[in-house]
Amino acid sequence: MNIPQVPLNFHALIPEICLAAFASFILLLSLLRINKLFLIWFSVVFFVFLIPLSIIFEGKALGEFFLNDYLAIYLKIIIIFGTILSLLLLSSYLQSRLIILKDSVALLLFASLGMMLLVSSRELISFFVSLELMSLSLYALVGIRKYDTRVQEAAIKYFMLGGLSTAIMLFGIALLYGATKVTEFSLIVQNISQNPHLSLLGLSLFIVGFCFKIALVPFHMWAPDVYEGAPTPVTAFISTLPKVAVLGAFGRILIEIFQNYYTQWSSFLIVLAVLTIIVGNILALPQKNIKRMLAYSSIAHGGYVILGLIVGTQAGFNAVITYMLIYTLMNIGAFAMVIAFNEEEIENYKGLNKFHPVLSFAMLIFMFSLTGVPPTAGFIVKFNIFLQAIKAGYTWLVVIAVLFTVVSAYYYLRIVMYMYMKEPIKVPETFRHRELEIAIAFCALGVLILGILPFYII
Amino acid sequence: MLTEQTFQKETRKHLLIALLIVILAGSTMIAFGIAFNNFKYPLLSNLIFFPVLGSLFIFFLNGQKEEVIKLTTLVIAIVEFILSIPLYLSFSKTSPQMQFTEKYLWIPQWGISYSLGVDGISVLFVLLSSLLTILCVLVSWNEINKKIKEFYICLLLTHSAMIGVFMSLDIFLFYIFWEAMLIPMYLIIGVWGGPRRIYAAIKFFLYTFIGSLLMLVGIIILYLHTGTSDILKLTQFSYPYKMQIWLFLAFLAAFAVKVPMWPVHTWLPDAHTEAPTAGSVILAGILIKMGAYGLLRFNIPMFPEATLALKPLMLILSVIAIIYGALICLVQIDLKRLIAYSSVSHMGLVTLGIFALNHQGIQGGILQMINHGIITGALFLCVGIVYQRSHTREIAKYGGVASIMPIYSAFFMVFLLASIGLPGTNGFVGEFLILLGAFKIWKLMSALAATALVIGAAYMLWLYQRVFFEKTTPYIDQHIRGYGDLNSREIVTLLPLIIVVFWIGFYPTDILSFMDLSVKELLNHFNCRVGVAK
Repeated sequence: MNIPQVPLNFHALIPEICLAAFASFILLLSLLRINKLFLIWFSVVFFVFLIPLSIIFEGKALGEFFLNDYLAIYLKIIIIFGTILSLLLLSSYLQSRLIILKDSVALLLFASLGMMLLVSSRELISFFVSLELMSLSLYALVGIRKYDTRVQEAAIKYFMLGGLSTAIMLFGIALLYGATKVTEFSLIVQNISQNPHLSLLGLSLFIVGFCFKIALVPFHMWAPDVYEGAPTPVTAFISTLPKVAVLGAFGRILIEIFQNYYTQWSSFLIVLAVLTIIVGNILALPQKNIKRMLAYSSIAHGGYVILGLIVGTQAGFNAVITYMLIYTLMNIGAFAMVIAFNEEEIENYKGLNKFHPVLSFAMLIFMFSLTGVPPTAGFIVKFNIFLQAIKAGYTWLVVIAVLFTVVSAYYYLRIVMYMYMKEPIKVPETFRHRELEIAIAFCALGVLILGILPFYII
Repeated sequence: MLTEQTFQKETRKHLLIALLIVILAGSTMIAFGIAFNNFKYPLLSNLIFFPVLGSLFIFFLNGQKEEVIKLTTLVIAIVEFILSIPLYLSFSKTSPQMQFTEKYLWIPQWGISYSLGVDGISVLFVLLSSLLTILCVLVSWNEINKKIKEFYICLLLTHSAMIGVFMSLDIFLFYIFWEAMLIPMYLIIGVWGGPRRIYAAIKFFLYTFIGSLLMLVGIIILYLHTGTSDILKLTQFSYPYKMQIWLFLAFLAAFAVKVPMWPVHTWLPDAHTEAPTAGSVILAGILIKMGAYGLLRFNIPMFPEATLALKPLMLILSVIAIIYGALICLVQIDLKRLIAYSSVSHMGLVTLGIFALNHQGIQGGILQMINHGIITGALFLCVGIVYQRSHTREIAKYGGVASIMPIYSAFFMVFLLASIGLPGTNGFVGEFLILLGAFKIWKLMSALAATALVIGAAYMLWLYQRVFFEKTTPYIDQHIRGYGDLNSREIVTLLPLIIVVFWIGFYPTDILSFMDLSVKELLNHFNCRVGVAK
């Protein structure tokens, strides 16, 4: 076996290299006695500078290992914004809650490094390494509050099932390599016909690993427990950005590489999408814990977004990406509200409007956006997905999705109803924090403005 | 010291009044400027966004100063109404085209534009909505006593979204307004409503939402088939027959829920009954007209062959709604619920007229929509006024109100007779035209519908007898006598509606002339397309 020489053109990787250096620096810095809030804002400012950086350095790196093209940049910007919001959310856990803050900032940075590498990787090994970098950071991040048994359970569960999915995916990668003898995606496309059965098997294992990561039914079992158990800022992070990165990377693999196998993988995904939409929405109905409810709701959203992949066109994939942008905003916003209200039981949301009109108005915006009611951005992106799906002839799928959107309206509106229409049963002990409020305002304004002026994102 | 304070207070009051006069006079001058100078002014956008900006302004007011909030809302509503007067004055009745049009590219990627305009069918609803919003503010003055700021914001936003529905000429924009209206309306019913308000609000939301989402699927199919979202262009295409049927049903899903047609009407009695008075007035006055308007704007011109094929079904459903609604009214024990079911019956008349598909029928249908908005709106206002005093809607508890509140009883009688369709009131004109139109195409249905009018007279007059005549019940004596008859605010609320009732009743041409050409155009288009198909 001859090892190919990799050309060392790392020009397009400069943003990621900066981020890696910065994350290591933060790890070092956290050894010193340093103001934690400063650490957070320092990282936020760094990420803001990372945006122009990742836009400037377009092109290929390390031969064909990484490709920083238009789509990758778009995904990276979503990841950067999401990370900034997550950092702001994390800072609200500074005081009084047992959390190893300094390490968690570094872990967050490493996770987002993994995601940024993942969305631009064009080769099996770099793909797998970036996926693992992301996943391992996330496992540790979930368990960051180490004296809480609920957190421990969540972390172990996440780690075991995540490890399982990684193993399955790795097996798929091995089969794919065995079938084609190359690792670069562009070469796999050419060699795939040499050994179609083996590569099809590899593909199906690959997809199973993918479904684990974005929690499609029936591979969703871990999600509610992990989302409920993890510290809320971490939940906000793991319920959005890993999905963005994994969907971005996998979508490109499915659409650009396995285009010839379209009928096979799309029929597989159609079954999963229908199952996910039905199960996610129905199981969200009886939940009493808001984090668990949002977990099922994010499973259901995974189902909607898969419709865009099933379409199998570039336009469909673009719809997926814009959906993920808005999904990130509204989901992080919703979890930020959970932190702000300092309350996980849905029962205790009764009458919150009486005490906190502005906060409950923000929650109302997020809930209507998650439902997909105009003039919020949640409607625009959902419309876009439905548009692409109907264009590809999947009207019946859209009708199913639409009917279960009505089901979803019930549990989202229940929150609004509790906040606005019920009498309070106790005085809420809300959690006011400047960084948190900045994050909420950003998300709420983003959802509203992009809903009214959507031409910026599509 | 004391005198100085009073003096300052007085000065402030005078300044406030002066400011109000200046605002009103200014807006009047602007309105007349627009009306008579015909310069290119984006009047429709102004009408939509003025209340939005107004509600934003109210949002920043201090929530404790209730009087200021109420007054500000009232001024905004009045200015809005004054600004909508040019629609009446300079609307050209000699043209069936869209007028006051505006068009800007909005989402270039999808070729969707922000496009507004009104024709003879829609212009009256904008005016009606502006008028009813003022009355809603007035009637809520004492009724709403919690979260006052939020209530008036919701009221203004609902108004904006509703007139947006009637004005939009782009199907995507139409859908945005159509759905956006749900949010404030859901809150109005759910937050400020009666005892079972939460159930009613959720039922209202889910019923409407499922219908609208099916329409959304229809809209996407339509858009993909033609590549345009312009409503006027969409009517120029001809679609395959099978597709027409499906699209007709998809749009019908949304509109039938809103109208509401039998058997999807069950949300309406709950929503109407539980909503606060202003909410009921908006629901009855404008909101449920959006459904019938949608049928006229989309179903009939876009899917003519499907309309022709499904016409018998629609007529039968209408007649069922008319008779069923009227019969249910006879057994109601709740004042508001009775009026709500009478809405089902009257809206059945409207769809009967529309699907008669002739000039009288459609004209009668539109006129009946306006009439129903005024009459039922007025009846809900009346019930709200008496409810504020007695705190009960149970008919059995009432009796002999006429002896305590004579002026109120007279007002109620006029609206009640208009609802029955007494000649000389507006109700008569609309019902007569509808029955005339329906008689031309299906005599049996028209006859059946006419019998329901007799039942209508029965339940309304029986209601009047039970509530206003007979012996004064102790409950009423105890609760109402202390308040006395209508106060001036309440008289001001009801008076405009009385005027409109008689104005349309005696001189319907004034209103009919607005829609005459537009209806003719619609029917020409329809007959042309059906003729081509044959």
